[in-house]
Amino acid sequence: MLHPNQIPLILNYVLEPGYSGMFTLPFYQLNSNMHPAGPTPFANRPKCTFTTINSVLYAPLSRGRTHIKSSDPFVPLTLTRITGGTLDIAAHVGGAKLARRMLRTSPLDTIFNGEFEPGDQFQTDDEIEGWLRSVVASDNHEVGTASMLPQHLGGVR
Amino acid sequence: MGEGFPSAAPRSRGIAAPRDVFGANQLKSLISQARATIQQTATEWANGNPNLQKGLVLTISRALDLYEKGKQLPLEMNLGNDHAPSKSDPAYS
Repeated sequence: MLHPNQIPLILNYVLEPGYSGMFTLPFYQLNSNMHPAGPTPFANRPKCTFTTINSVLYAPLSRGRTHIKSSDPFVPLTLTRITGGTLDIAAHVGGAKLARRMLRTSPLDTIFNGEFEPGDQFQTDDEIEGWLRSVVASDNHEVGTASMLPQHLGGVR
Repeated sequence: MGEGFPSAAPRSRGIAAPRDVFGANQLKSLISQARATIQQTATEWANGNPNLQKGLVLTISRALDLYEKGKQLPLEMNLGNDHAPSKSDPAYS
């Protein structure tokens, strides 16, 4: 069983509580049969080594608002009024299709042995989009909401 | 596979090229739709700040320019090995 006591020794009493908290979360997830990346719990994954391709849209055009509802890190953020996403959605669908092609193209095709997620039943763009909407997640690179622009374009100091 | 380029993350295969992700006509249409709504989007998300409104128009326009040039797309394809450990796996001990 993994335990938070396995975290590296932090010799800074100011930072230590924060580091402990950050390390505790993934330990909790792993010990609760939740994987921090990907929609399928450990128990439902293939009992073998496998290849994963994550398609990450790191600069979406969509805009929305983020609301923190609780100090409990397992209570999801509320994301509201996300708009302007047509191009983003098409990029996500295209990314899933590209991942499939990568695994069926040399040299990766030499080790390709079948698809687990999303699965062969999802073929059309609409079917892939539907699957993506049920599993899509943040890649957890939150860095802030400040606009990084010159002041005359609405940026902040 | 198209252009793109390798990224720094050790798991990563690289950044996707637009032509690997979109059909030519599909991308042209999507960019056209996005350009038609830039002002509306900027107004909606500027919180009444006219400078930020200008900034949003500029940043979205520049992003669409990059899509249009077809050189790169902000889509990272991360390739990695994974496995589903059992409770007897050393990772759990």
